[in-house]
Amino acid sequence: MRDFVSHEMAARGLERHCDSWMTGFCPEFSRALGARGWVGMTFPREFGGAQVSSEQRYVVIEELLAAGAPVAAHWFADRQVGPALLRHGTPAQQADHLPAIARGERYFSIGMSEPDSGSDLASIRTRAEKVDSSWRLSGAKVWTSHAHVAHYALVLARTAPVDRDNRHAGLSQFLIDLNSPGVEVRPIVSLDGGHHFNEVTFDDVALAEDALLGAPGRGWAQVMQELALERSGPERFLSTMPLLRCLIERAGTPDLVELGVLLAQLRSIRAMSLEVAQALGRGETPNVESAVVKDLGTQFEGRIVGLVRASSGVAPDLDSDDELARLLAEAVLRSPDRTLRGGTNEILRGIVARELVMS
Amino acid sequence: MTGQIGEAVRSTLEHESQVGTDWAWDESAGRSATQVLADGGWLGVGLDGDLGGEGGDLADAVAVVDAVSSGGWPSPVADLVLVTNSVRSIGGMSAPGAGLTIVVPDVGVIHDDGRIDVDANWVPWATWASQLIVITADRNGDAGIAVIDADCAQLAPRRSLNGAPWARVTLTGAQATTLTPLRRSASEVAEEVLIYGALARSVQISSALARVEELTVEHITARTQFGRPLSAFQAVQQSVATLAGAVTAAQAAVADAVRGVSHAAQLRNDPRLPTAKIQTAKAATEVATVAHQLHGALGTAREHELHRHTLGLWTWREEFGAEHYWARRLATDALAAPDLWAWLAQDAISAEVAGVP
Repeated sequence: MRDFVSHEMAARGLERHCDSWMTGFCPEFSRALGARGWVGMTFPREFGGAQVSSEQRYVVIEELLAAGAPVAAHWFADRQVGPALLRHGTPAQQADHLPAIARGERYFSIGMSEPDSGSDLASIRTRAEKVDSSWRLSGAKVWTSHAHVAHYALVLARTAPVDRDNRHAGLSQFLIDLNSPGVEVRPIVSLDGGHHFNEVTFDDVALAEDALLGAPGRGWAQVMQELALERSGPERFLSTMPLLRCLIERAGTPDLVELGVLLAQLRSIRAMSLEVAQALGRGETPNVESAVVKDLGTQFEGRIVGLVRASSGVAPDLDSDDELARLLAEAVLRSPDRTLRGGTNEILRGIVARELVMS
Repeated sequence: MTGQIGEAVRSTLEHESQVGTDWAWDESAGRSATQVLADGGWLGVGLDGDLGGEGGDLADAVAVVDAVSSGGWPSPVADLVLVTNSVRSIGGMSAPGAGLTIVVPDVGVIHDDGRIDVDANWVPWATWASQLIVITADRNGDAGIAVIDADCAQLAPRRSLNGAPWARVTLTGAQATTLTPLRRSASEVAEEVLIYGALARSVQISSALARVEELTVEHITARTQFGRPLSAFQAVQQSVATLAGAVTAAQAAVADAVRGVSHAAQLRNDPRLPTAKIQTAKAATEVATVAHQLHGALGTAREHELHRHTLGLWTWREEFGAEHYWARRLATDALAAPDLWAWLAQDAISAEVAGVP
């Protein structure tokens, strides 16, 4: 695996990057992984998967992240859309999407946040209405990664009026072809000049009946399962691993105490994350554990930036030929993202606290 | 199995009050509690039946230590079950004598005539010991395990922050009652003693962390200020979640270190051990700070249970290597590896799935 990744990256002239699962959009690389059976690994064989355990997939994606490989194109499809289709999809939906995902050819965006709904996901206003045997979708999604290059989006929408006693009721998920008439994608350029976020508007988009994923009104529970996958994976503590590896390859660090503490943190966050992966593999939804992994993991990533700043003497520079300077710049410029995406750390701590107090 | 052990130990200790005057620890009650555990056979858990133990594996021994530590009182049980028994088992030694046997962490010198010298700055529970075990080095540096009558030792008794007794121990020309030679270097055996101790303290901290979390959650739920329970305040929720995160990470590190290990000696050169001690020591600091902050002044009174655990946390994080010591060692090992990531990823789970398609 390790040899394949380094060979494949060298052959394509690809450099390693921090946060490569968010920013490294490279369809050729995704297809090469798919050809080796490293996308959709947990899918059943009939859908083009390798039908292996979630632990095995875990080790493979760790290797890719640690190498800073460009895995963003297929990331969401592999991480959460595939599992969601396996749990809730109809046979036709599964047959349509899963083999293409496993080949590393079909890419998804995730439509959760909206202009007026960030952390408060239950307040979304995008609506889908049943008209005869089809759906009409209207509204807007924001911070939609790769919507300008992905094929489909998995979108959370309101399908029944708000119930004041149960804000989580009346939500449903839809699989939407991003080329459908009425879908408009507008770029949101990030502070580092990069474009991976978008605002996507849906102007009375006509959806076939089978665009609905799972049961109508069950969207909240389905999304919570996705978020557990989204929060607990190794991308929550390995985004800056290329930077740490580069530091160590170069001169190491004189600050052995800080490095040792970080390595111990990394090891135990990894142990927790693996436990969550195993629980998810058993079909559980370990929301609290996932929240802890993401909170600790993203703080850990920030401390790597601190260690490199303190011990390398290198100034961050995105355009530098010096790899350490470039990786440091990437890690610094994306530092606000880490503790926001997938649920802000404050929201995550709120989830943990509620569980403690109520249990 | 380990759950049942924990329950049985807790119920054994249920009626052993150790509260003394002014809510301080009553040391003689502590001795009685230890005796009750010894009489129940709990101090032999994890040690082979052949050596006079009760059988069971490392996880069982850890369960005993965890249960004893959750009461918060000072206790030599962690040292007896995870250090003394581990040394007895590598030496194949049956019961060294009546009463408690404590291991001296520093290596002693054995002269050609068999007399032993040692000057150990810190020996936990030395004042309670009937026998001391000293790892000896002969002129070639080869190890022996010497059992020495504690009366032969000169003790300078002291107390740690949580009131547990320890002593500086000096032996000059002492005679061993038994001497078991090992065909290994003394420094290697001494390293193992350090590992047993570090594991013992990690387990004790982990146990105390769990209890501190419980106490804190109880307190913020029950205590009302400004007309609302403390737990209704977002600032409090953020703090208690931080506490819970630190506890979870420390517990995960300890569980990871013990998983699949039948004898603690297997943890030599294993990054899981430093990871456990670093994570528990760091959590000790963070959790004690947050717990006291959330308990307010109430938590600083001896009448309140919290201090028993936080005093333990502040004591144990320092013993058998504080996080700085182990972090330096862990980092040195990592830097010596050809590739940082390969070194990090080389554990059981990765090996298990090395044959991915």
